[in-house]
This record gives sequence, structure tokens and C-alpha cells, in this order.
Amino acid sequence: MTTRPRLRRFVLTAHVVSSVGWLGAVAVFVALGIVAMTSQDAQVVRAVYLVMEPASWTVLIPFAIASLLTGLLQSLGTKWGLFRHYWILTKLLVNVVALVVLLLYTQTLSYLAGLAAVSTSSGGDLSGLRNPSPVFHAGLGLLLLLTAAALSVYKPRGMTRYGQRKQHEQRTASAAVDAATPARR
Amino acid sequence: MPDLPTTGAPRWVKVSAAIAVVAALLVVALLLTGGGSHGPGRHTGSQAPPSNVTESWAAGHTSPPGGHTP
Repeated sequence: MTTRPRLRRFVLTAHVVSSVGWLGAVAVFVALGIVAMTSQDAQVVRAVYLVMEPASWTVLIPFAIASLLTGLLQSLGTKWGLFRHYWILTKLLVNVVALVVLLLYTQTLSYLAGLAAVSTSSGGDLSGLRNPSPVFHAGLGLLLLLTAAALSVYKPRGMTRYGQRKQHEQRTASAAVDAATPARR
Repeated sequence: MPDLPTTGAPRWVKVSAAIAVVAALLVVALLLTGGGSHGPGRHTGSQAPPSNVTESWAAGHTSPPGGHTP
């Protein structure tokens, strides 16, 4: 199954935009997490946790789902396939793992936002609000997404057994067509 | 039809798979030993959020903590 060039370019554009958008949003979460860990201003710390929770639902998760869906369309709609090349399979695994962890982690973000919403600390006692967890999770997520981006650019060699079998079948079919077609001079 | 000679996985795949397995085992070990108290398990285990937080969410927000569970 292959898609038409115009549709393929559109899906590719959507995939690049959503994937890079996801990566950028995760980078912002790392920065916000560091601010929450280091700021001496209690209102700033609370604001960080209050903004993280809605931002995860309005930015991170939509980008993550869009990246996964457009990636599936892009691979299944082109000659690359989804299970033929190790780098595509690896990207799929990275995307799915990152999305599942992100969805699970929204519980923690809700918890932190709730804690920030009821907190009355005015700067003296910020220890209860400070949490290294967002920086840790966003940092690991950033590492995973950077790996996926690098795979997309470098496209390291390596075909799965399925990919090799498919390639062999296509070459055999192509050779049979060539043999059956009269030579043109 | 003769068997198609296939080549094995390249080195980068084997190295990446090994790293992924070690990372997964590390995460499981952390969760089992309680070191993963920062994770989502905190809401189902002994480290439940303070009751005032839950009450606040119930009163002032449309969704409670963990309400977006996939």
C-alpha cells in the first residue's frame, strides 16, 4: 500500500511538525522542572506545577498521539513499511513507550498541581513542593525523543527478517516481470 | 522454494536492545524496592496524596487527581 506523493508529503510534514513539537514541549518541561527545583519564589514554584498539568493535556499528549499516528501512516503508506527496518521499529517502540509513560505520568502531574493549588507556603517552606520527578521524567523523555530524531536522520542500516523476505519477494516478482516483457530497442 | 539466507540484526540493534533491557530491569527493581515513589504508583500505594489535596480537587476542579487515567 503506497500513498500518493501529495498526501505523502502532507503526512510527512505533519509527522515532522508533531514530533519536533513534542520534543520542544518536553524540553520546556525540563526547563520548568528545573525552575521549580531552584526558584526561591514560592509563587513561581506553584505556578510551574499548576501550568504543567494542563500543558500536558493540551500540548504534550496531542503532539505525542499525532506523532504516533502520522508515523504509522507514513511508514505503512510508503515503501519503508513498519516492520521492515530496525530503525523504524525502534522509533515505533520509543514512541509507544514514551506515550504510555506520559499518559501514566499525568497522574503525578495532577497530584503536583493539586498540591500547588492548596499550598499556602510563602517562600519559607518550599521543600514540600519541590520535586525532582518532573525533571527526571522529562529528561528521560527528551533523551528518548532525541534518539528517535537521530534515527530519522541517520536511518542506520539493518533490515528485519520480515523486511529481507519482503525485499526478496519484490525482487523475484520484478525479475519475473522483466523476463516476461519483450525487450525494447 | 529454497530458504532465503537472511542476515542477523546489526550491532547497533543488539547494543540498543541490551540497554533497553537493563533500563527496564532497573525500573522494575526501583518500583519493587520502593525507590520509584515518584512514579504513578504513589497514588495507589501507601503514599497517597494528602486528603486536603483530594478535597480541593473535588471541590474546585472538574477532574480529581488521577482522573485522566488512560
